Amino acid sequence: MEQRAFEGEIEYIQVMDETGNVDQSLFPKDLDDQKILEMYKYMLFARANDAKTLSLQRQGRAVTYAPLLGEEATQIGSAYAMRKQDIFVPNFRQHGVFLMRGLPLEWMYLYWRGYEEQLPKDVNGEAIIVPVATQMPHAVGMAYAQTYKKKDAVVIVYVGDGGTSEGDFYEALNFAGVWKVPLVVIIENNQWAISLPRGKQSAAKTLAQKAFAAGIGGVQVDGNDVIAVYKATKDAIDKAKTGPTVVECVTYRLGMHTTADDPTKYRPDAEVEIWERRDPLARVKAYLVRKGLWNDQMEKETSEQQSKEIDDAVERAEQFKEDPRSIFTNVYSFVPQTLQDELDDAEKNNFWQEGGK
Amino acid sequence: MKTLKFVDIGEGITEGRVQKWLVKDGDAVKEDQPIVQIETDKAVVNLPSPINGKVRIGAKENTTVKVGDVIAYVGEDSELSSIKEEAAAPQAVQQKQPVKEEKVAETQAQREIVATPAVRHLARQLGIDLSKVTGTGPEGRVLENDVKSFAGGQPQGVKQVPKFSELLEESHEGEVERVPLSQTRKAIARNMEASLAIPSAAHMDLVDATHLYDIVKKEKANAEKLGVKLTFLPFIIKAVVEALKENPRFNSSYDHDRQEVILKKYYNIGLAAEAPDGLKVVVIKGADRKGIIEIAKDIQTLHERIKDQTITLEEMRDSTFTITNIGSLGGGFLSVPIINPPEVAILGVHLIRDMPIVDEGQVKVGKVLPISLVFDHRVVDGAEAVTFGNAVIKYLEDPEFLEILG
Repeated sequence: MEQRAFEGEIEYIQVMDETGNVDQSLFPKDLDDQKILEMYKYMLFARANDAKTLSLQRQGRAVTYAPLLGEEATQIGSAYAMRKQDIFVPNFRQHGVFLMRGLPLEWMYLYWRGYEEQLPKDVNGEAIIVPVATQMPHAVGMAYAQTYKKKDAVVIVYVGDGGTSEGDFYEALNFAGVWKVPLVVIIENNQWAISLPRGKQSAAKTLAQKAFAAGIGGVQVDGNDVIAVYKATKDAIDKAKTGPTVVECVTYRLGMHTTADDPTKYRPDAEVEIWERRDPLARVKAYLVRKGLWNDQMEKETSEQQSKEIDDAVERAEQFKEDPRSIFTNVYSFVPQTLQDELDDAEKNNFWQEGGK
Repeated sequence: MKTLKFVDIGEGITEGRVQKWLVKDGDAVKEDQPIVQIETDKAVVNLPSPINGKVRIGAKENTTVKVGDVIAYVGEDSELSSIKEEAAAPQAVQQKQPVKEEKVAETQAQREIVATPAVRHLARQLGIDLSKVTGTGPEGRVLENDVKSFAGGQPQGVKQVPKFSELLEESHEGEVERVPLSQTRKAIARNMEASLAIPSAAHMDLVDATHLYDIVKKEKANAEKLGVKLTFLPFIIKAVVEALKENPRFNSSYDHDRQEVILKKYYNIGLAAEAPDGLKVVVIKGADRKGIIEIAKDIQTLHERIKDQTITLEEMRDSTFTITNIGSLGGGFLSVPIINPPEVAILGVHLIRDMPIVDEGQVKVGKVLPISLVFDHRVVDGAEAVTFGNAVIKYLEDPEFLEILG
């Protein structure tokens, strides 16, 4: 006897093409032009904030930074689909998601200056996670907790193309599949894991198909199409009660991996130029301009207003007085006795001469 | 006014090199506008201006900056003009400082010493008081070289290990003699040391010089009528020039700092020549535009000038590729010459001897010219060396090519 034991297909979705034309048959019913305009403004904001943080780093006003340039649609589209109660778990590049979740800008600047102060609770997200893919098992645990506590919340976790090769990724997907937890895995496939190209990362044709091994559904979308990303994330959140989904967003890192990296050393300019023509912002702008909802004057005014917000936040961040006590108080949600003892000791011995209150 | 300092922009960077200024001193710049390109061992990065204003350049192009060094000031004209005074002020004060009580002067001087920990360490090792060393770095910073040259002037303060030469004189007193190097010899030594820094490899081959030998023999009499002594060398030079045109990387220089190869589109062939006071390299300029007789004349003139020591510096400069004719010295089979920096390769040509040549299964007696090519392996690889060597051989064995020249 011979019969087919498994069948699976990965769909690729693009709703808005590179020139801003929309495939009406795929257009999400709950989306309208005002919402697209709103997403576009967030994408602009994310890009402006990105350029500023990079500039701050080069001046020594931030320690390090991982730019998001080129990945705005993947981040804003997915974040826009989240509901207030949903929890998101980033890796280290989701500044656009943080923006949409209402994280005060100065928190980001402080973070990149080395101050890991407690994340405001209403952001409903995890702090930035640098070790590759370690956020994956955390996210599955958090999603399991939502089911266990009978809460109507979905966990949305981000992982890069490089992260999908890690053991943590497979282990997490396996648990997620077995437990059918309310989880959405966004693979932000930006083609480069530092200097390792996607082609050398995995022999799998899509990264989304890795979901099959764990008995999970997967989909691949044009990660530079904010509507496709929104749609896929929204659909995944809607059916999260029945189990997890993997959404692979095919995008491109136009900038460096982090500020310690020089991509010109390992990838050809010609490749970057191809992706520059697929700019996630340009197509939305073309769409909005064609609809008469946007023009260069509006873009200029919006950019000026966003620059001012950014500058004010930089100013606030630079006024920040650090509290060395946070070394002890910002480890757990409460301060255990052992840490309290150390804190008392430090205060008694005047461990910090300056900056302490 | 704001100061743009060089910071650790890449997780563990300690220094960088100012590669290029994107604006000029005094230019108006905007906040976040890239103003200077810095190269670190990790990346080339653009540093932006911290504010709107005018730029005062603090670190020039091609200088090395350490983390914390000022790269630029940005601000109003009035603020920038005050920098100059501030920078000039400490020097003026130092000059005027009365040296009444040495102790007071010393402590004050100590407070003004700017030096990196490495320099301080070196000074301690050499037992040098840094306050006595004049710094030549930015804002009077004491550099490693300042300490070293200061130490050079005061050898008594430096703990010295006896050198081999001293030990030799001690154990063989009266049996050794010290001869100072001539200026030429010193230059040779310098050049040879520079050459040692080139990672080189050698390629050797044999040329069937039978045709070449015949041509030279045949044309010798004609040349003599023109007052020229014809040798093999002009033919070899022409063959080399043609091979260089086909393999341009052998006619280049390696720019280590910029990680570039400078290809030269002119062909000045250096010839190593033995002079009374040591090795010299005379140069046949524009060898690609000269005929055999002209080159032969050049060689003759240059050699005469070497002999009567009227050779000018100009006649020994600017070679792009050097040939050393070991054969003319009257012996040897094959040698490994040393590259003449900043060139990329050198060709050794050796004594032409009657040797057995196997041609279509028959052994016959032919004229064999051994050649050796030493090349800078950073710029070219073995495969390219063989291609170049084969090109030289191709021309030297080609009767038609030689006839045209002859």
